[in-house]
Amino acid sequence: MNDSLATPLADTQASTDAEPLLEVRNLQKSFAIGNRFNRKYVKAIQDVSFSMKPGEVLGLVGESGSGKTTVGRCIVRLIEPTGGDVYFQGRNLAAASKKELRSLRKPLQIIFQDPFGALNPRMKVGNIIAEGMKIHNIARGEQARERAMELLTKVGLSRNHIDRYPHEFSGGQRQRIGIARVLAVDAKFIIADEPVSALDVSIQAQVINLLQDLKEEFDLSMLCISHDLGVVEHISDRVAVMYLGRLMEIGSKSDVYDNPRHPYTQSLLEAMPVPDPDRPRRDEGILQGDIPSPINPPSGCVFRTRCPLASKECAEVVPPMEEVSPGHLKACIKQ
Amino acid sequence: MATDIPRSDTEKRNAQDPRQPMDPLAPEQPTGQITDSEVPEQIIAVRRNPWKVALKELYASKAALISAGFILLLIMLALFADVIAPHDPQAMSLIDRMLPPAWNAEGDMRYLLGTDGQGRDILSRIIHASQMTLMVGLASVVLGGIVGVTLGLLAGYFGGWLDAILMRFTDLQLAFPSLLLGLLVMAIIGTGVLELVCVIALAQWAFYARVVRSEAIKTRELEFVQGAIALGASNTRILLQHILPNCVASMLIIASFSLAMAIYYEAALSFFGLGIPPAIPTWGNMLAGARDIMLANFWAPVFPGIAITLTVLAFNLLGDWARDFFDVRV
Repeated sequence: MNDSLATPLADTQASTDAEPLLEVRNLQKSFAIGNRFNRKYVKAIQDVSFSMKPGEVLGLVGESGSGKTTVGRCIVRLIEPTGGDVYFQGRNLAAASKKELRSLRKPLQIIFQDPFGALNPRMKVGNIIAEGMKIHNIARGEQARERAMELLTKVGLSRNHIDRYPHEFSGGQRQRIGIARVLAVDAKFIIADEPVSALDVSIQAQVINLLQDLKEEFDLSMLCISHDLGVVEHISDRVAVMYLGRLMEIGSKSDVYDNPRHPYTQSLLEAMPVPDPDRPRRDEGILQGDIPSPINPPSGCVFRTRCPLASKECAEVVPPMEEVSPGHLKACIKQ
Repeated sequence: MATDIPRSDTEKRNAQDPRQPMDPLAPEQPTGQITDSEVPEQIIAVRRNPWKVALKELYASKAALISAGFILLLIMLALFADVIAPHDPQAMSLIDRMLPPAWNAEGDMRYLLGTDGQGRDILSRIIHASQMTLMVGLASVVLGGIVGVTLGLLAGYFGGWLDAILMRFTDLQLAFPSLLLGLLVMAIIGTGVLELVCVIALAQWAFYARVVRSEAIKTRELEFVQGAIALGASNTRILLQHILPNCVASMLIIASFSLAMAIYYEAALSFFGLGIPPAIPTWGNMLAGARDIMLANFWAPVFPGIAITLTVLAFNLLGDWARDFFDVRV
């Protein structure tokens, strides 16, 4: 295993020197459910920490229910985190007042999964794109309209689409409009929450490529949340793996995909479909069972109930994130 | 035409797709110039005028079409009552008292639907009464709507204790028989057109509040509202720009049912002598006036009664249609 350590070392070493753009520390979120006599908490995310450099794309992967979306929404405080800090450009968003938050999160915007729910059906495309400009006094009236048209061409639509309503567009086109909407406020950091999982495969590639082009052009950083390992592999510089509200492994793309050190990452990668009909089917290593309930997560390592390597010690302590190689961390006491 | 018969609703809708050549006013074809893609995406829907779609849908439903036609007729009658009505609604003629309708052997051709106890032409009174009926109906629906929608939006969007308090008020309102409440309030504050409008609005705001609240809760969680919050939009902007416009469909549906209810309440309260002053002709007043003579003169209460029934039915049917129409689109 040691022979693979040499390669990722060089690039992660250099990158850790840069000032982080976003730093998430011990982010927590639990949702209260039930009534006041029978209160239970869904621990959606627990102790999630990571940081991102300017211009970086971090892919956040995990099964449904692993808390990836909650992480994204807690960062911009669409969901109020119950604990932890989020530093963006050195300012703590988690501690900001509602008023400060409005300007603080302007450069930090979200692209949503559902292209049908993400655009107000009663607003024209031009107004949807110009809304952020009006809110932040970037541009008004004709000027805003002109800019909106410009942004439409940037995302691969046409200027004369500006007076149309969202229902006149296909899913992929709506996603483009959603991207134009966040570019309108000069977003520097985009949280893309399952940006393509609701789209047809042929259109997924177009939208992903668009995101990559815009990232270069506008110097964006991105947190790309997806359950699709292929999408994340395509777009990310680094990858974080989540399971049941906790980070399992984080590292550069090559670290995680070529040298996964956490048994959960390994089984996820095993389960990734390979487009080769002659390849023999492998059934061992594929995860059995379902993700446990986040109301009552397993003690110690949350993954131990499905882990092929689990032993008695795994139930005792929550495994800390330990460094495998610089920049490559895993939360597993085994291996 | 044979192919037109076994069609589901969706197929009908597709058939009305404005792209079809059958539509003479077909909008321009989309000019989707997708620059960076190899496979151009298809535009799944093109610009269509929502009013035109609504009219076509209305035409497809006979009950709604007839109702809409009846309501239109009623509005025309109300607007041009002075021209249309054959007699002055207040003109009494003691010689012509209690004349039966014209088709009756004892009827008089001058009084098509007969006359009432004071010798006033029933047809003319029904026509003139439609003015007051529609006015009271519209005013109370608008007033009740404004109050109910505002409270519903606030309750649904902000939630928490505000929601709890406002919703307990609507529960209270809905639990109390509104006709009884109307009688009570009218007995205290007195009678009159404005008072009547307020009482009917009082009976209606809770329906708006309930429905708009649930719409607001639903819409608040939608991603475009979340996106607007992330953009930094103020609460006022989100409520007025994003949530309210998406409640319009359900507001229209309730307004249609409320209008039917308002007409019914106006008639009921006027019948009890608590609504519009008896001097002004309304359908309820006509019923009340006919109370003493109705055994011998069936026409005096029956014709205003038919007017009430048809109007209430028409607004209800139109409301039903509106519900179906908006449901499929939402």
